[in-house]
Amino acid sequence: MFELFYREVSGSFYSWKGAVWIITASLIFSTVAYLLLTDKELSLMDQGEMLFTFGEIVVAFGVIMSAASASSTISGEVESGTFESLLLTPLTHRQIAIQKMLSVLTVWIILYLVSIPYLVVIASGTNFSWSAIFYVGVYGTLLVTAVSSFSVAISAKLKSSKSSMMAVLMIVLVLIAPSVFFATSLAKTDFGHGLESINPFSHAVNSLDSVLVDNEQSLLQQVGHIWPVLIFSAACIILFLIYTRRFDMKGEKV
Amino acid sequence: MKLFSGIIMTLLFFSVLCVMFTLDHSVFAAAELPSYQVYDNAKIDITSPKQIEGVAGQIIKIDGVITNPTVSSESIQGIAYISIVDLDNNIPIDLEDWSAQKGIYVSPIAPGKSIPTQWSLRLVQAGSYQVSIIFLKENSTAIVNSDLTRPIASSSVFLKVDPKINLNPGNVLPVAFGIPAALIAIFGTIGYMRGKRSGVYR
Repeated sequence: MFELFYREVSGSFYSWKGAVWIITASLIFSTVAYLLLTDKELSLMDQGEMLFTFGEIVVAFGVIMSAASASSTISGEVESGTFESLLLTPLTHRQIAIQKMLSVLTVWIILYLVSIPYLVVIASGTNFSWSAIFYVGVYGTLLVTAVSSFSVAISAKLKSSKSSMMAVLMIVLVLIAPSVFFATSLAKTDFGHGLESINPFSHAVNSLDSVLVDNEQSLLQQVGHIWPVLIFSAACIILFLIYTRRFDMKGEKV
Repeated sequence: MKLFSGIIMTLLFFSVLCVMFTLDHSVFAAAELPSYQVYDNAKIDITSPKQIEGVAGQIIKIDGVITNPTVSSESIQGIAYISIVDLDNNIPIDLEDWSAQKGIYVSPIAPGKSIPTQWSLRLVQAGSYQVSIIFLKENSTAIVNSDLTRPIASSSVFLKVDPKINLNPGNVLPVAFGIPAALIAIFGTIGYMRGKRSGVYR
């Protein structure tokens, strides 16, 4: 039943595809964590702010990683000529897509597990450890599920890794940029507030800020941020289920 | 005749003075100890120790009390803000990183009453500093009498900030170096074992 999933996961680690993501992520996490705690100016930040910055990096890295990996799952098979043989397996088209999506999600889960020791170290001496681990996990998993779902759908629709990767990275950039690059400027305008209210990534970032900087750790206080992310994930999964019902090969339904 | 005219001139001079004094008190206002009223109208004291020592990154509290010492005068209100001067470089400090709340609005203080104030300061950089609190009164007659707008300063607190030297805060080093090393070892082993099974490594 999950043969393809196992093959994808083991393949991504044997071929270093997934391993490189994880090792790169750990090197980035190490650099960021060490700088946050020891740099002359960065170390003066509040521990909550450090955790927020680190959490933001973990979620953003997870989203980018899943977008890059998932955007070539179907198109990669088509381009390498292995997709037909995959279609000959007893798996339905949707099962193939789901298992490929789950393999991307597995890499995220490993990445998230790798980030936990860093979160614990940065939060040492505060009561933020569990909240940081929980909320980074919740938002990361929801956003990675959403992004990998629509990435697989786009990959199945475009059947070109180059095109699908460009399209997916563009969407991810549109989602991430307002919160990461223009957060301060946008917070001053109504347009910015409007944009943030519909952007799921902004909701995730604002929620992490609220939990880790403003100490609003209760789940009830974060419901207003969680449900837009949930709706976005549900919409992406619906899109994924629609576009992966049957793969269209060379203009004909297979 | 000369004596008579002298007496007349003296009387005229004093008459003019009396008329001026009766009609317009402001003519003499400037001579009435201008700063006395200002300093007597509000008082600001720092209740924190006069010498504070800390380490960069630490958060300290500066406490103050604003008092309206008068008994019969009206209540006072205004803005109180903190000021820090770098004594090593003789420059005022930009408080952006030091304090999230630089100024506070002081609501009306009734005569004879006082209110406590507090500022949280994050010690950003090592050095020697002088901290004081300034209180600027809000007054409806401020435009007429500029003395009432004169800010009132507290006495100073001397702050010594020591540098923060810690190469392994929160045991970050074992995590920062250990996790990438462990991951490289795990994935390297997996790759090597697979390579050995498939004949790549003999």
